[in-house]
Amino acid sequence: MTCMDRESELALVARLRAGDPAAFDLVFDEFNPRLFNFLARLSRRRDVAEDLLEETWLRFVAQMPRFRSDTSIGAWLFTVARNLHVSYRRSRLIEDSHAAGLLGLWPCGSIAASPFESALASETGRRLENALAALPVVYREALLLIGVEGLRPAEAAAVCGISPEAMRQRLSRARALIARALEDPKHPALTRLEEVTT
Amino acid sequence: MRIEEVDRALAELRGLPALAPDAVRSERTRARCRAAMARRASPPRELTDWRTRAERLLATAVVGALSALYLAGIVYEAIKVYGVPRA
Repeated sequence: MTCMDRESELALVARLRAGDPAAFDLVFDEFNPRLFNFLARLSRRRDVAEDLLEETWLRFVAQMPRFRSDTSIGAWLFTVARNLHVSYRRSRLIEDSHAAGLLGLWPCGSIAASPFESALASETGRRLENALAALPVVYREALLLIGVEGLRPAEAAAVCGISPEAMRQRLSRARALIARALEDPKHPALTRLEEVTT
Repeated sequence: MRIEEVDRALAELRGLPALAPDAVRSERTRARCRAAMARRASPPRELTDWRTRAERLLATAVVGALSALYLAGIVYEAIKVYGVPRA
């Protein structure tokens, strides 16, 4: 799930527990973009993703001295980020059917084409992004954690607080939903999304 | 769409373009985190904490002693006026 092996990760955890700023920088550089990707695609709003990202890091620093020596940094961070998003959704009563536009994820006024804009040029990429964004959040987070972030199903299950079997079922259901959405460009969820984004 | 095509599409998820967080805000977050770490680690803070605790303890002791003195004075005056109460 991370670029570092387990041994390096454990050494890093020890340094974090001791409050080593250089160790914190290493973790920040490794996970900040990944957490943002996860939160942005989960929340479908750039501003929300930025807020939740900051809160995740502040909690990380607050809890660092209390980390267990075998803490998995990535799993810890994704769990906190995911839980913060759950709390956010509860507090704002966001409904999946009212998806914010994917275009809102990217800053305006960029002169050069962003990677996202390039991907939009690809029909498959655009449909995939839309299909992903239109999935109910429980399926979207499963796909993001396993499909995008490369977590093992057991790790993703731990992040979501469910059993590995339940995660496998979610993943299977997510595949079926995304297949239906990709098969039918006029799938209700995609149609709704297009109304928002175009 | 066949399941193989779906799997291929899902494999493309990993190839989706990376979304970049706002660089300025990220640096601000990093700075906040490092400041929090520095606050927790710095010895002057521990010294300040120790002093604060000692000052609080002293203040509590002084207020407690004065209160006890005041109460003793009231009891003394009451006994002088009414005498020792009989059971």
